[in-house]
Amino acid sequence: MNEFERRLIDAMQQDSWIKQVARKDKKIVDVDYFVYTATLTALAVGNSAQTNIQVQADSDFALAYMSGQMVVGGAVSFLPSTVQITDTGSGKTFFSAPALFNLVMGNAGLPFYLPAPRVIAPNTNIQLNVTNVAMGGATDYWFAFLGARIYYAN
Amino acid sequence: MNSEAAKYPQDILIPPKGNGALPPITRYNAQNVRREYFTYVTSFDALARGDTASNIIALRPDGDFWLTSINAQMCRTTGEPVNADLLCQITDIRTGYNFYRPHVSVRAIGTPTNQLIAARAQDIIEPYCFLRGGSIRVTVWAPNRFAAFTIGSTYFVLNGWLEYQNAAY
Repeated sequence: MNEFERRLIDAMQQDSWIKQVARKDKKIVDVDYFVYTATLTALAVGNSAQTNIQVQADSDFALAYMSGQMVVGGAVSFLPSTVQITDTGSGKTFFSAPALFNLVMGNAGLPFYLPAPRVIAPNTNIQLNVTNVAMGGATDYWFAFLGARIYYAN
Repeated sequence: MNSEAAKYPQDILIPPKGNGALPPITRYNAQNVRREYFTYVTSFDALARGDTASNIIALRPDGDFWLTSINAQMCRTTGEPVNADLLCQITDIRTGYNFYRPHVSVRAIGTPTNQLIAARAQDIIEPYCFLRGGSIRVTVWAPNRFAAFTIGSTYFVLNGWLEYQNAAY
């Protein structure tokens, strides 16, 4: 690490957003922008599906934005589907009950900005459960979880 | 009263509005060591002209919930988003505080059009604190001027963060 990087990290640790997500007992050595993604395809009406995103073992993931899009027959869809997101490490869900996709996954390329960040521990899964409750057709889902990977000194 | 002194003015918990008749709160924000994004969700099915319905969301016992924005979306029975004249009220049951007087149109709190625009968030001017273990009542009703069709589903999401007193790290 050169002097510039060292000073940047020092400054970064004073940032109010980083302070919300940083472990109190550890020293940050790097913070990188990162996006975890997932896809579910051809989910039929009335059906549910699940997929998992493996969070890397070397860093915490501080989630800042969620973004998603539904596609039916090649066109962007706004028909209702519900989604529940679970941090399998802590066992905690993001929503008290499955939420409408359109209301929590952003829209038209604009992501949903989380009111407060959510930290996902290393080596855990982000589990996505989706249900197609629409009257439309088989739906494809794209998910993107945008945030920062935070690396600590051992 | 906890013996730990508040170091900064913002360490003192801001009591929810309408809290006057309740016991004083003797807890400090400084003790809430971790805040974490969370969304409470509720939904209603099959609302027609003249209907009233109410849901109570039980709040988690482990963290105070600070509400920052509300989104809602109505859908026809066929699933398409719709912009109907549904009214609603949101109440903090613990304090009896109502968010709207006398009520608000769901259209005004972030309803999509039936075109491309999905829900818009209604930002709460100042985050509102629902204390842990409390509950939120969401009431909806369809006035007589309501369109002559049935809404298939109405979804509400209440976005904010949970503040915990104890966290893993």
